Amino acid sequence: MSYGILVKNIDGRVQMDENVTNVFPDPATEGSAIVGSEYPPVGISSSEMIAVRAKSDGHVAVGVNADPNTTYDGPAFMSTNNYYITRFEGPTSGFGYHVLKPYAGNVSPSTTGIGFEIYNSSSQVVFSATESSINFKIVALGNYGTAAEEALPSATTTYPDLTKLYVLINATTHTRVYVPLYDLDYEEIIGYRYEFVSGNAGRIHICKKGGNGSNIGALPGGTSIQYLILERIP
Amino acid sequence: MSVTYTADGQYYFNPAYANAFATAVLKIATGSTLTTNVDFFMDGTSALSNQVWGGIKRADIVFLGAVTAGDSLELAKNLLDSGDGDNPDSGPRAVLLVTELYSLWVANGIGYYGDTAGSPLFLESEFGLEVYNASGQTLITLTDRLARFVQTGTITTTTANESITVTVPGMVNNDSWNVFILSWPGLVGAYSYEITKNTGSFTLQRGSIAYGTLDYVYWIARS
Repeated sequence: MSYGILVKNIDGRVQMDENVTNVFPDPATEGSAIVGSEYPPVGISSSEMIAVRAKSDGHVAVGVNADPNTTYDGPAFMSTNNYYITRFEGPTSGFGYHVLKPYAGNVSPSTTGIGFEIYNSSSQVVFSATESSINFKIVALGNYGTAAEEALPSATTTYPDLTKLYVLINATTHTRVYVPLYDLDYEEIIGYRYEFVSGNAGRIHICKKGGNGSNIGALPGGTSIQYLILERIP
Repeated sequence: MSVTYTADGQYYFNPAYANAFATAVLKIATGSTLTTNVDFFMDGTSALSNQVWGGIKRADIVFLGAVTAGDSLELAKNLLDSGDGDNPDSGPRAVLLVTELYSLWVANGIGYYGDTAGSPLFLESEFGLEVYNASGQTLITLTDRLARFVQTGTITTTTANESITVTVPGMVNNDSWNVFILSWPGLVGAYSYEITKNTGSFTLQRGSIAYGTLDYVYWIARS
């Protein structure tokens, strides 16, 4: 390293350097889905991502694809226990979400003339403390195991304020099939559950569940779920 | 961090958070009066730190070696007793059984080290970088594990079971690299996929349902 800045945490992991690419919520205000479902992918651009939180105790199911009433194009996020989701129970208060966009090298410099800023080799501002260019930071990440659990898996960490936390998850399958005419009902669903313990404090559980109408014990297995829990910085 | 005492038991340790870190830091608060030798041992054999604090009112003990979960850290007796400068190699010791690492909190300074039982004697990070925004919110501290956005893009598939490899310089298959796929609404199961992280790339394999051309937005974050 011949120039620039490099900051590592106590564990030796890089926190920031001159190649910082920031992630902003756009719009800045949180989107809200009070009932049922949300189709956040519609209308958003390539490179954008959706981070969703439950507003009360319950599951958020991700990647729910089937809607037999319409064109088989179902929502990507489900918050309530309804026609689409029979295995997860959604939060009664719905969920909130942010559309996240990455920005590289085009953060506005501080207008106050104070604070901490980092420029890249093209003289672009990549980090500005006073402009709050870091809007999210990681609270936890990892891979949830291959065991399939529906209700309250083994997460034990209690976070002080779940209303600031959003989750991104990734796994191999998230399928829902429901065709009553042919008595076909099968689903493999991944998601996560917000467990409010006391006030806004609580835990987040990564979940998956699968099965069909006559065999709800059949669970998807063999694949782990990668997760990232983000904290929104006001 | 859990603590198993073999003697005295006047001090205990708690993790600040449940994060895992490879370096443990023990700090004594300003105002604490320590007039004794302090030794830390790993597995009862390797001295990690040995400092003499004669009248020093603040001191840091840093585990000089990497500490991992499962290690036992042996705390010399004379940190626990009246501080009379005993030979740290003699007498009973407290053993810290490391299950998680973040930082160590020392509390409950009964006796010589003085404080009310259960009151933490310290600690905040007193070294490293901290960054606050204009609202006074903490953006970065020494112990934060931050996500660094690396790359995004769209993967276009045209057939079922198609496998697409995306080059990501520096990528390896560990938990520091995270690939996320935006979930889209679509035909039943059509957007199912499988991700495999490789060295320098990752591979997305589309599910087995024929549904024409499908796009997958991906994000890669490194922490």
